[in-house]
Formats: sequence, structure tokens, C-alpha cells
Amino acid sequence: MTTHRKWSRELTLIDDALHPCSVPGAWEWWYFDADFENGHTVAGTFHYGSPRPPANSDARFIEIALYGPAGNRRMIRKRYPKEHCSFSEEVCDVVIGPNHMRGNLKTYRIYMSEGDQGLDLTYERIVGGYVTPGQAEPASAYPPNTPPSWIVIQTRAKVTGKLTWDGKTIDVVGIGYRDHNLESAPYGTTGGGLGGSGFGGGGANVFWSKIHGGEWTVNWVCGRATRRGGYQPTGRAICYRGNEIVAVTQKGAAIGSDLTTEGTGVEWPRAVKVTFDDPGLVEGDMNLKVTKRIEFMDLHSRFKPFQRWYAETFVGHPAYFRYRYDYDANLTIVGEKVSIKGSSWMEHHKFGAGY
Amino acid sequence: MATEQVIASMAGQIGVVVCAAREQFADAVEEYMKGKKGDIGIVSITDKLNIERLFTDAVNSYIIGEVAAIISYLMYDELKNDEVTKRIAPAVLEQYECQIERVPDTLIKKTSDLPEIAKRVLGSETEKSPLVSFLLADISEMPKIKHLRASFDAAILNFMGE
Repeated sequence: MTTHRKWSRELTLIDDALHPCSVPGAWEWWYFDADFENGHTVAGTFHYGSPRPPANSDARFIEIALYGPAGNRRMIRKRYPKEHCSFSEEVCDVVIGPNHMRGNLKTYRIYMSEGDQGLDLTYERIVGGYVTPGQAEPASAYPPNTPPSWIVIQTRAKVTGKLTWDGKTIDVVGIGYRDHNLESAPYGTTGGGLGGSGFGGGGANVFWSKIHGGEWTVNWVCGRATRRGGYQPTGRAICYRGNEIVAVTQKGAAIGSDLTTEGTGVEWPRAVKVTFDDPGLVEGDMNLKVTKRIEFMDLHSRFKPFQRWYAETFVGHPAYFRYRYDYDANLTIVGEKVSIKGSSWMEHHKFGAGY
Repeated sequence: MATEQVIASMAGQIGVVVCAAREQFADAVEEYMKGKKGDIGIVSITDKLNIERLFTDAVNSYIIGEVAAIISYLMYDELKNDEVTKRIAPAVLEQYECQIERVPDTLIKKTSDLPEIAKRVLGSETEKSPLVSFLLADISEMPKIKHLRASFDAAILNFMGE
């Protein structure tokens, strides 16, 4: 008999609003992605503060990638003065220049128009969200010093609307995801969440993605500390059957292998093995084969010359990647065998040296 | 940054350089053991001397110049006096480098690009504080590179956001 356990508190509108924070270097982003039936993918963020070093809480910008079926890509990064932006502290109502995201947990409209690229998408919730226990609890506890938080707003959503690529607008239908992150310092710096010790000690390789098959959806973020962090595993999976969270585990790990520096100068893996070892909740593994690297952001490129020299010499080369991959998942979730094969894409945060 | 933040940040940097040194040392010992002939389970007197040398190399390559830079930067930030940074600490490092038996290859490799980087930054049109300009000139104008001093200057420039 499956014990019914409540794994997450209910989301509230304020979860997806701005959370003013007095910590220098704090930032928030509103993230969305979607995979469309025509082979296009979008992934993007509306930013309040910079998630990458150097810290800058005054930065207001969008960063949205459009990926075509053939592997081509358009990256739209546009910064706007603060006076051209607005952020509600009560609901998700984010405006950055002409671009906006508005919604109420169930439904969102996301609009971006920059030159020849654009999108106008509606997200309708299929599978609900998740708030990490211990983070952002209760919802009213945010200001003035927001704790780092990962708030999943829509684990799966039906996405419809229009995509504009090089001035040509097409209708799109697909499946999407939305979340909202808050941190007190840029990634890769002390206090900066993922790989937070990457600039002061440990470092890690962290992979995030979600897989879906039948009634199952697994939203996972797993990795492993680098040598400097003692190769400690780190991982979490939120497992849904239908619209219900049936298990959450913190006992996961992911290790990249078959490394290459092709096209980047920074090592990235062509295979990733994800394992879960939480008897009774989530056990098993997922073998991921990277089929294409679709994104690479060199976090050193934002550093000045001597910062770059120092980081390379003493810390390692931080980077961000996205990969398309095929997966073969063989899991046991609350006693039920779940075997899924398919294709998806993942992000990879690399902090520190090695794997 | 407030003094307490700078102290916390610099304390973190000591950890960073010690980590880099310990990894370098462990890797060097691994290489040494791989290349050792005979019974690798027994550490002879010669092995001890060689491992000591590897330890010294790691400390000289990754700790000496950097910890000096960390302390000097703290003093500069707190006292607003650049004498330690510009004159006293570099003089000590220079004398120490003259004493060491040989400059480790890792230290030579680590510092080899610094004069070129310094020249490039010096030639850029960005506004520079007097101390930054001094450190850049110090690295780029060394007739023969002084490795520990160059490391020291470069670490300070990093702490100053360059």
C-alpha cells in the first residue's frame, strides 16, 4: 500500500512574484522552456540581478535561446534600464522592456520581441509544481533576506502560440516547463547555490533535466562534487504519477564520462549516468547519451584578464552547457518499476576542475 | 567591501590556494610512485627526500606568492597603505626565490603568460588606480621574470577585480 505523503506545500501566487532581497549579489530569474512538435525548442529567463559573476543586483535582462530542428540557434540577450522594467511583489507580472511574463500558476503568457526574433506563448498547467522543503517556507517568509530557493511552477504544461525566427512567424504546439529560482549570490561564487563553493573550495558538475513516459514525470537535478569536494554525490528527483508527487529523493548522483573539449575548450561529457539509491522511494539508474551539444556559455568570458588567470590556475573553468540526449531509465519508484526510453535535453553547470 | 567581508573573502582564498597546492602535490607523488622502480610499498630515504622536494615545489608554486598577496591585500585594504604591497612583500619574495634550490616547472608554467597579460592590460584604455598601474608595470617590465613576485602581483590584481 502506498503511503500518501505530502511532499510539497501548495504553491501560492507570491511564490512566483518578485522577492525583494537586501543581500548584495542576490538575484532571481523566471525560467521557461518548451519543446515543440515541429522540432523547435525554446529556453529562456527573465532576470532580476545577475546569476553569473560578477554580482550585479541591478541588472535587468532577458536571455532566451531558440533552437531549430537542424541544430541552429538564436540567442537573444537584451538588457534594459531599471526604469523600463517592472516586477510585481504579489503575482508573476514581470516586464523587461517590451518583453513580459504574466500568470497565475495555472496559466502564463510569455511574450518576447527583439528584432527578428520573438515568441508569444501560453502555458497551461498539466502537472503542477514543487517547493523544496525548507526553502521558501512559508511563502510569506521571503523578505527581506530571501533564502536560496528552487520553486517549480509547472512541471509540465501545454504550450501553444507563435514563434518568430528571423522574422518568420510560425504557430507552435508543445510541452513546456516553468520554474523560478532565487539566490543570494551568483552561481559559482560563495553562497551562490549550485556549485556555490566552486570559487572557494569544492566545485561540482550538476545536471538538470526532466523525463516523461506514460503517467510518469521525473524532474531531476543530480551531480557530483569535483575532486576538491571529495567527489560527494548530490542529487534530487521529484517523481510524479499523473499530477501527484509520489516520491522525492535527495539521494541521487550523476557522473559525466567520455569527455571531450570539442567546440568549447572546456571538458564536457558525451555520456552521463544518473543513479538513485533511496530504497522504498527511488532506486535505479538512467543512462544518458548526449546526442548534441546545443549551448555553451564560457563563464570565464565575463572575467577580466587577471581574474581569468587566477580562476584557471586555482579553481577551474566554470561553464554552462545544454545537451540533447537519449535516455534509458530503469527506476523503481515507490515500489513500482518504471522503465522509460526517450529523448530530452538537459543543462549542465560546471564549477571547478574535472568530473 | 566592508572589512569583515574582505577578511572572510581572503580567508576563503587561503583555502583555495591550499587546495590547489595539495592537488598538485598529490598528483606529483602519484607520478613519482608510478615511475618508481622496485617495491613501491617501501618508502626509502631517497623516496622521502624526493617527496619532500615535491612538497616544496607545490608550496612554492601555489602558496607562497598567493598567501603573501592575500595578507598584503588585507593590509592595503584596511590601512590604505600600499608600502607592503609595492615594496616590502615583493622584496621578501624576491630574496626567498633566490634561496630556493630550483624554481619548480609548475611555477614557471603558471607565470609564463603574466608579462604578456600585464602588457595588454596596461595598454588598454580602461581607467586604472595607481596601485593597479604599478603592479601591471612591475610584471611587464621585469627584464627576467621573478616568478613569485609575478604571482604575487597577479593575485593582487585579481583581488582588485582586474
